[in-house]
Amino acid sequence: MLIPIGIGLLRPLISSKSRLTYSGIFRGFASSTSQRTSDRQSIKKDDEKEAETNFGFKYVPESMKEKLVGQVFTNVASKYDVMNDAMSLGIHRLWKDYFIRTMAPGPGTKLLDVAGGTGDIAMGFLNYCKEIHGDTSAQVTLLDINPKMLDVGRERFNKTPYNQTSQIQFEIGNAENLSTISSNSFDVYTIAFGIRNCTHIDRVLSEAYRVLRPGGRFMCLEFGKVQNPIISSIYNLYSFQIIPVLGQVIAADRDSYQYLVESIQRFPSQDKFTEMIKDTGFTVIDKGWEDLTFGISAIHSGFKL
Amino acid sequence: MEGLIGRSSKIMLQRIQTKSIIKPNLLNLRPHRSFSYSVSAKLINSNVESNEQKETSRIPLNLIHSEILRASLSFVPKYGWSVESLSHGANSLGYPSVSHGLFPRGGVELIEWFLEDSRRKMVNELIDKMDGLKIHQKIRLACITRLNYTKPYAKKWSEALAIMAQPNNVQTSIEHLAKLVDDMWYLAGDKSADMNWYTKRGSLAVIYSSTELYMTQDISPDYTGTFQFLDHRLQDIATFGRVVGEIDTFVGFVTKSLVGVLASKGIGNFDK
Repeated sequence: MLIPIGIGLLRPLISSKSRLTYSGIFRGFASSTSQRTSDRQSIKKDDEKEAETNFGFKYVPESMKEKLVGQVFTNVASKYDVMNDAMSLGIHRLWKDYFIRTMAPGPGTKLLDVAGGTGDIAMGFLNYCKEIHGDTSAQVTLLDINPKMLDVGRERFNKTPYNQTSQIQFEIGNAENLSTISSNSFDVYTIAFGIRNCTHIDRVLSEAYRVLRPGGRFMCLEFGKVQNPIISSIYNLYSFQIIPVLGQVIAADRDSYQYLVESIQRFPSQDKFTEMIKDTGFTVIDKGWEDLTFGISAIHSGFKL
Repeated sequence: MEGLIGRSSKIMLQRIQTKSIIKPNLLNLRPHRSFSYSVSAKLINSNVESNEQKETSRIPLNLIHSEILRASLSFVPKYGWSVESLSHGANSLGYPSVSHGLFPRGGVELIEWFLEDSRRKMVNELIDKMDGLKIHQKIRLACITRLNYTKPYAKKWSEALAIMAQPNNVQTSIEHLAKLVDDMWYLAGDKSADMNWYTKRGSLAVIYSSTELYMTQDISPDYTGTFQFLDHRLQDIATFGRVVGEIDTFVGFVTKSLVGVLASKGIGNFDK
């Protein structure tokens, strides 16, 4: 019984400490759900001209979202992996492993891991190539917008044999504008649990399309909507009641994890996201996504052909 | 029955004339979901809907699929009917190895494509060569032609058979065999309109599949053993058919004699 409940928030909850600079207008995230309407009205008064986007259940001007998300991740970076394991009871590892096995890269594959953060996918990819093919020519560029997350990733890789090899490169960059990456240069593009936090998902998809080679694969591992009503109610209960509390206890940061569960709700459903992927120009095979654990997360895939 | 024959003839004629990919629904089989038909049709639809301005500059998707699969065949003797062959095939065309993801079911898609492609090649090759041969010679020629396509992969064919025997794939592999024997009999000019239509195809299916099975373990030079095996099986069927006919005649005589004897004793039906 615990296991279905335990399936939950794998992703690092964004840790938004109450000291966020935007709290001048809101009354902090702790009261986010109840303050929704009044906060929204107060925003509209101040920023009527700028388009709004969602930040969890709140609405913020588009230009602010990136900064807010950045603050959140800066705060959670050190406890990111621990919280992942705690929230999902380790199931996120299974998901990421399955993700890489679905990719089944051959020798010499070049991967761009966007929003790679602490490097779970990048590490798994290099290990897969080494163990299955005995290959050491696979390369991964780990790109993240947040320097602190990248630092944690660097530390993790320092302890592996990939340290200081050409197999792993770290870069700071914005998924919406990969200015440092040339077109048609990567075989696979992955973004695991990161696209939800981007302000303009369509720009991320366009950039992904640009940097991939013809025949290249776009793969996205992201939270999805659960169809089964029973599982869905248990999952929502777990998300909204238990995860923020876990965040408070382990990372002393309730608000970030509140943001996490809210942002999961805000992300489009699997079929809508697949439509967005198709609209960008990717070729989608069959359904286009595969549900994992009843749809709590899903693997989306598209090819540039 | 005649409706079936009529339809299959018409479809064959269309296929030969237009050389397009039309999947005849012989034997009222459920539509067969091989990648090259329904999947690529779906994909083409998605491309057309969303990328109308890009469509003209792109190679059609089913062509890319066929190219990758054709290229993968050359790696089968080394890597088997697997994702590895697909990866190498994609690589050889300049696509990254992860393009094997275009075939989510993996090796079985390669097998299915191979079966489809070989059947099409057999039909195209034999359409003009069937004149002046007797029916059993035509069948023999069709079997030999088709077996020749399997020859390069004979060493790995047992792996293909094992994959096709998996529960997921059994239905499609039976459909492929059914289509194959139907095409062979059509090429041989079969015009039966009764139970023979089914028995002919059933017996040919057994002959062909047992010959292919024999081929997987045949070590004779250039598979001459396999073709001898084929000839023996075809003779068996001919013999069997003749014997059944003779038994039928014999039993008919015996029954009529018995009825006659009983009638002479006053027992039996005299209404006629």
